[in-house]
Amino acid sequence: MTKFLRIIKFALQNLGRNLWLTVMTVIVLTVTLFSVNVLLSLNVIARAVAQSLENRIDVSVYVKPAANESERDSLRSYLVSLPQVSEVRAISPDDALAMFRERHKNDQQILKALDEVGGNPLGATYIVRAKSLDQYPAIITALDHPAYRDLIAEKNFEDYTALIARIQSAQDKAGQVGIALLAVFAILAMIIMVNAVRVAIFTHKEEIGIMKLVGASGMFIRGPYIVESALLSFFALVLASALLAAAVYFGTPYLSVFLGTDPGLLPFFGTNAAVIAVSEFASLLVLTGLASTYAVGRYMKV
Amino acid sequence: MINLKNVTKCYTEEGPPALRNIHFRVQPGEFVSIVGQSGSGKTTLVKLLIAEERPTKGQIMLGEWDISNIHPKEIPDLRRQIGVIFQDFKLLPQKTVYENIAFALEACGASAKQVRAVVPQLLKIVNLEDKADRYPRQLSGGEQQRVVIARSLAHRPKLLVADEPTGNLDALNAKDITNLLLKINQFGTTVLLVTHNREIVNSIRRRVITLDQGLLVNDAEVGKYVI
Repeated sequence: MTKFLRIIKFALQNLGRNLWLTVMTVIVLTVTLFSVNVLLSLNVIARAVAQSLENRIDVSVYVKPAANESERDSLRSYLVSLPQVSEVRAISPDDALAMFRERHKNDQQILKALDEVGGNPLGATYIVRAKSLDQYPAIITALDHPAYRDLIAEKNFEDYTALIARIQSAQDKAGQVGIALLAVFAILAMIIMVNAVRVAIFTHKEEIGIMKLVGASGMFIRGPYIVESALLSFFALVLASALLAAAVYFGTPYLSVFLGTDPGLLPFFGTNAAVIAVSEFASLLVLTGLASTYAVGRYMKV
Repeated sequence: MINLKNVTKCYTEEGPPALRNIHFRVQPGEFVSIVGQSGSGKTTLVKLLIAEERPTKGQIMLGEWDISNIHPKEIPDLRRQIGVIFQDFKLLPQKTVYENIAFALEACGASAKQVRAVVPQLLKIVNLEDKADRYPRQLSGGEQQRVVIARSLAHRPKLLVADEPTGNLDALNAKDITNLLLKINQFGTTVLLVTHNREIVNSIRRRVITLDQGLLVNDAEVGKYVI
């Protein structure tokens, strides 16, 4: 216990008496950690933007005006029962007519033509939303069911096919590039952190040799540097987290306006903050611990 | 206390050995000066005694302990039993005088109570009580060497090895340090003084072992610096 307390005491002394080096090392670790967090945020934003685009996609199924209520209900029930469908919104013929009139209220020619036709020439419309993008083709195929094929006047999914394909491809690529970038950044971060710790310990190389000559054991020499690394990691984590929290909090309104959708950062970090913090601290601890153990070991060969 | 049996040390296969067939014995409580010119093998001998190097041939016994093939894990134990004074002091620059001395005790696992009791005594012996809170850079060379002596005595070693302890000091400070070593020897600690300072060796009139180009050329009970 005495030994452990002494190790802690020496670690705190080292940090305090080499304040400039402590500050510089914490800054390097903080910037590295923050850059990893920024990349993580970019992935979240990319996902939110893709999700927002995906939410705007749907299939409009225009029912022939001749179809009666029972046929329309049957078609609606069929659509709802499809496993790929997440939502079906119905617009009745009357609502469709009212919306049409509203949309063209300034176009007297169209309104006049509508009056000349008489009655309601519009049928019901079903707006169908799939559970995911790749399920739209299955829904379109299902609409070719012989029992319902003749009830449908038109379906507008074809207009979206190219867009859906582009979104899907962009989503896939963004995911792959995001993972690759995150991996590269993680490796770079590891190198920078390991080097920062090695530089910090390099400045103590003479001391390490002296401690060894005075008869200090390996653990008694290494201990304070390992504890020091843990404390540096902790300070860096706190600073990087504070920076990220401020950036997310103050940046979200601007990002929402810019992207036209909520970037999803607040809910993401709200839910995952603890997991991210713990895994980042654990990674930092392992990395800096190994780096300091290795670096101290190099100067202990006396 | 120390028994060297035909010790040879070669740093390279091609070059001449740093030490050749060195054979001598030091009794407990002795004060022995090891003298010789630069390159005679004095520092190599110190490095062998503190297991910083290993002999190429021969055996080194410290009491009953064969340190020729010491296991790396035993080295800290060995060094806690030998006090070492270096020419370049080797003080921890980020620690105060008090902390430098305390460190030697703390490394041995001494309790906080022991540290609080022993360090002031040592500071008194080396006459540095009023400079306990200073850092090494705030001390003169002679004062730094006195801190080193205090640190080397912290764990009450039976053997004190002083490697050129006066090498970086002026005549007055060198005499002070020598007197301190003699005083320590009077209390029963075996002292091995490695030096090329002729005046000091001739003035103390103790046993002198002379090395020349790695060979032991003279071992006199009450010797003089002869090279």
